[in-house]
Amino acid sequence: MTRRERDERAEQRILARLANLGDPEPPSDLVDEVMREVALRHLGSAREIALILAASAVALAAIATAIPVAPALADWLSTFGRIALLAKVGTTIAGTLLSGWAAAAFGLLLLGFTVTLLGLKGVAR
Amino acid sequence: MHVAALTLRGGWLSGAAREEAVDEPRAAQRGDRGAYAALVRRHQRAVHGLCYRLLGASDEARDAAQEAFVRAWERLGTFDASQQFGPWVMRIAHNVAIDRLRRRGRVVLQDEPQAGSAETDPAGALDLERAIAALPPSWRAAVILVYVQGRPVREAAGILEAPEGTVLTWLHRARHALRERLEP
Repeated sequence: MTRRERDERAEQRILARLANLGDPEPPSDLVDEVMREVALRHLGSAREIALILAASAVALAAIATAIPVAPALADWLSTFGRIALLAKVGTTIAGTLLSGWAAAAFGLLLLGFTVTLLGLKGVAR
Repeated sequence: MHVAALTLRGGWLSGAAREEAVDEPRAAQRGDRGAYAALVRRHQRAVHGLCYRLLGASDEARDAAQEAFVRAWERLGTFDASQQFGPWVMRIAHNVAIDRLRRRGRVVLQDEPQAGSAETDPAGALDLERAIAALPPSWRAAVILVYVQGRPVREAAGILEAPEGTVLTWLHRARHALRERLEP
């Protein structure tokens, strides 16, 4: 038998052993652990959405209160100033309470409120 | 026959099995956690097996497998449901295990061969495990996917994100290294 033939046979034996090796038994609670973590992540997303809605409601209430109560403040601030102030407040709140896409969504929502309010104010004038 | 076995041993699926395997990822994508649990149950052995043989430590392999499945859940939106779920989640598991391996830099091998091995000789199984563990990670991953799990080279190449020719080279070198170690 040539060396090459010996090597080929040795490789065939090793391949047969590898095929018989199989995968080890996974931990019995792996599925439960994964699904628990998935549920936690799902809960985390729901909490973030709830937080966005709550923060948006607070922001809306604050704006609705501030407009009739402090018209002087609204007049005092230029249009750009109002947007900048709200953006700053929004960013601070979002940065403190939220993270990632939730902060971005909150910022967009706040910007939407601002633009709408400015639009309404323009219509009123 | 179990779907996992069909998928692992050549990628062939019967009509009913294919329907099940295609429907479950779609249901999971719609937020059906029961369907996702079924997917995890079906692929846990292969995912854990890859992590175990890449990382060598059962605790870390378990954590890596869990991380892979959670990451897959978070990325389900990017999964093409017309494709097989198995290779997709295996690619994620491979990336998770390689990241952990890079952070740690070495392999810890169990003293005892894990349950599930069909090797009749425990010492022989341990020798084989040690020989696999001594291979570079890319060769090792290729050996596990193709020779241990029985996947086609093309599928293994997709999981390892490498050209088929490269995977064939890794397998050739791995066979040579294993032969040198096990049958010098």
